[in-house]
Amino acid sequence: MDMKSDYDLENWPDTVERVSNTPAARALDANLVSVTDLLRLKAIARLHARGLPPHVDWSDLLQEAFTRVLDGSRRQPTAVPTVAFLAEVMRSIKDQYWREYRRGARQLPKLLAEIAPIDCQGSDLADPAPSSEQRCIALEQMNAIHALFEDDPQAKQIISALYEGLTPEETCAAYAMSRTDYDSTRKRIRRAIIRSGLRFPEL
Amino acid sequence: MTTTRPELGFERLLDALGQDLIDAPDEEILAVAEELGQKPGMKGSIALAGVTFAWRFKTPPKAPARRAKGASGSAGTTRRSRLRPKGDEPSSG
Repeated sequence: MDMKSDYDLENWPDTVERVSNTPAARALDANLVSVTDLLRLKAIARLHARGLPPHVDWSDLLQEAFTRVLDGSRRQPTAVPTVAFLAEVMRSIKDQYWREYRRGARQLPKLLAEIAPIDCQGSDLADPAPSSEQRCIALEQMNAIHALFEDDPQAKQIISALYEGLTPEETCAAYAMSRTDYDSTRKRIRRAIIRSGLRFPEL
Repeated sequence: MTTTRPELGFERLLDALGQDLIDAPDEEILAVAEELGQKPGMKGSIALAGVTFAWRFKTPPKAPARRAKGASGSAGTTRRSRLRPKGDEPSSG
């Protein structure tokens, strides 16, 4: 591939600094992954970022996964391909982010009470449900994913079936869909998700 | 939708779609990048923004100087438009 620079750095805003030595860049330099692997992982990170707590984004998730692999805190089993392994690392980091977020949310009323001793009980801040925010994000993002397939009713049916955990056979039976239609719709979904994962600017 | 807990159903969906991305052929990934006007083979391509490079604020932005009414010159919008690397085109959808 042609590797010449395509940046106009002279016009970069003064307040913004370009960071090149990211963990993912180091992994590319070390031939741990290819450019195509990185595109694939970017799309996977952006997909999983739909279910991230509010304070972190897809790039945090991706770079943290590379950091853990590069520093040896996560070791890749020999039988698992690199991209699949990194995807799994991202998934476990996402779970960790949520645990930390819930822990912080549980401590918030206590911290506020220390700052200003008011009765927080009964207020929204004392919400005992640990996953209420996660649930809200899930519902919001389900709508966003459905919106990607506004004009594709079969895609929406398959999205709903995957949400419910139906097998392809069960999905075909539930929606009177042929297996050929199922497979071709699944490919359309995949392409739309890749497109959504690579789009710039992020929408 | 049924009584599936939203956060569990959503995670199940993300896992299934994530597996589809893992299984997607390289050609399909590159074809989509090309459709979006991206050139991942070029150093610093916008396709790898947030991946092999990123941006961060190095100093807090300064308060903008007051400008005389009708003063000419480049505004933030003009500079901003140059953030896009040459060779990559903005996507439309």
